Amino acid sequence: MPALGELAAEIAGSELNRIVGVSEFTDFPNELKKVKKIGSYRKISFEEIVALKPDLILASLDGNGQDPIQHLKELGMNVVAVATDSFVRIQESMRIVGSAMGNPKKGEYLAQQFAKNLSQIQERTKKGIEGHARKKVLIELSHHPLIVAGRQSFLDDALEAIGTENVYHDLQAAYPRPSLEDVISSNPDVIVIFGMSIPPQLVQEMIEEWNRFPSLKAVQTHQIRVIRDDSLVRPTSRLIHGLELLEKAIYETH
Amino acid sequence: MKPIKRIYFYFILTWAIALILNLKTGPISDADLQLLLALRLPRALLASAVGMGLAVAGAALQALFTNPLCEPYTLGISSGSALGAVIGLSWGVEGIFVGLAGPAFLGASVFSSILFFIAHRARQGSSTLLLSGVMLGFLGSSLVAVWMALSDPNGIQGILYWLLGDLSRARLQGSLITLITTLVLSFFIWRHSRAMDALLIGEEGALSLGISVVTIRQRTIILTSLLVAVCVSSAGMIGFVGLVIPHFIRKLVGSLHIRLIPLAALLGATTLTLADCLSRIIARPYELPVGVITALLGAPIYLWILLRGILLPKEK
Repeated sequence: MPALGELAAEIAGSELNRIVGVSEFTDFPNELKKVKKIGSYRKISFEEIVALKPDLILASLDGNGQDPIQHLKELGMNVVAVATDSFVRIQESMRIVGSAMGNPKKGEYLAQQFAKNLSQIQERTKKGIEGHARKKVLIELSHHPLIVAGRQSFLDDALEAIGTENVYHDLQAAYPRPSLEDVISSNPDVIVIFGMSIPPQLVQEMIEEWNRFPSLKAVQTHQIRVIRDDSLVRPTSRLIHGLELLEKAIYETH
Repeated sequence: MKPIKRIYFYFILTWAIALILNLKTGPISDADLQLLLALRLPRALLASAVGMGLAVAGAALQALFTNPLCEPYTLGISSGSALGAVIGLSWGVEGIFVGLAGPAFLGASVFSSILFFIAHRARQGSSTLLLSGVMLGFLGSSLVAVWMALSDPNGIQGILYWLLGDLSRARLQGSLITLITTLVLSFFIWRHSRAMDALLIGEEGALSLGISVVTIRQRTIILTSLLVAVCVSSAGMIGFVGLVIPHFIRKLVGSLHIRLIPLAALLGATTLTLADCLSRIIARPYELPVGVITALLGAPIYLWILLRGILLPKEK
């Protein structure tokens, strides 16, 4: 996971050469782009990993099944797996990775920074929406098929943190695929399209698709927003920046 | 009313009821006219068009190969059509609907020609043809997988869904075009009814009726390939409609194509329209691809037809 590379880089600080392999699409910090790729989270190459002879493998429990992790352990590797599907777990993951990399203080520091910045945002948005109803927001990750953020994604916490409500908070899944008609019946106030890995032209088409339904509140009030910055899909310290972007996207008025 | 007229009347009536049910079913309980036009009507029309097309294509293939277990999906023709469509898509052919029908037709006709070549050499009624079809289906799906792995990963998820048989992307214009094309193609196939009856008697019998078997077969292959291509490029691979529907109609009115084709068309339309309703309500708030529904219902029926000969004493 790109996010784990980022976290490891933060803990490692100036000793970036401690990171010998990363997953595909890892692009932050810039130096990690040059590090050996061991595959994407869907298709990791066990041989590449073993060949690198790492002292420690950081694995994500999000999206991965238990099987690859078990497999690596059977190969005699030292695997530490973390979950990042909620804000609490993201902070935990900072502590866990800190300890695993021999720098628990740094991990603790990152976790506390995260908590501090988070509560600042929470208080700010709380003041901002005083006396108003909480906005119902849909986070859309893909249109064909329709993929949205559900309760078990950290994005559900993100929406809550900025004083809004995820329309799919009740769905016990990280990234559910409801039907188009179900989304329309849930009628969100704001639709936020995550356009990080989608070509601009396709994002434009996604907006047009929603505009076909003038009965949607988000269409009537022109509240279809696009976020392109990838900090919002990296459950690390950078997520705070992503939260600020999300806050801006949802509350800004055109 | 003559009995056959009564059957037509009831079939049209059930189709109308299925359409109304389809328009009424969905998570939005108080859908307004605008939503119905944008969302449900295109789906109902597309479901009807594709159901009709597949049932007619199934009936025509069964006559062409003189084998009642033939249909576009199990013979792999749908798969060939999907392969053509996916290749077309990666070469930048735009639009799920009309644009893709061209390459889809090429894929479908290559696969049905191979099948025809095999059928020509295999003994009549043997399982060689069916097994070859299943293998061609595998081949087509694998090539689709290869193509998808090699081309841009963007949109792959969408293609995977579409391959399973998906009506959710229907748009009014595309649905209308598909419906009209299906009706026209079905009409042309229906005009060959007498010839298809003759095919069932066998080559000599047909010749004695003054029907050129070769010409008829060529035309049927082209027409069914076109029909399959239109269905697959607009709704992906939907199985078993083409098998079960003609089978049922034959039980009802016999195997004269002049009745079989239009009745199969009507019942096919009704069936897929209802299957679409099911796909929408069965797993709310999620939606199942309609191809999954038809396979879940159709596969057991197919098995039953296959095994009936073994389990029960021979009929006649």
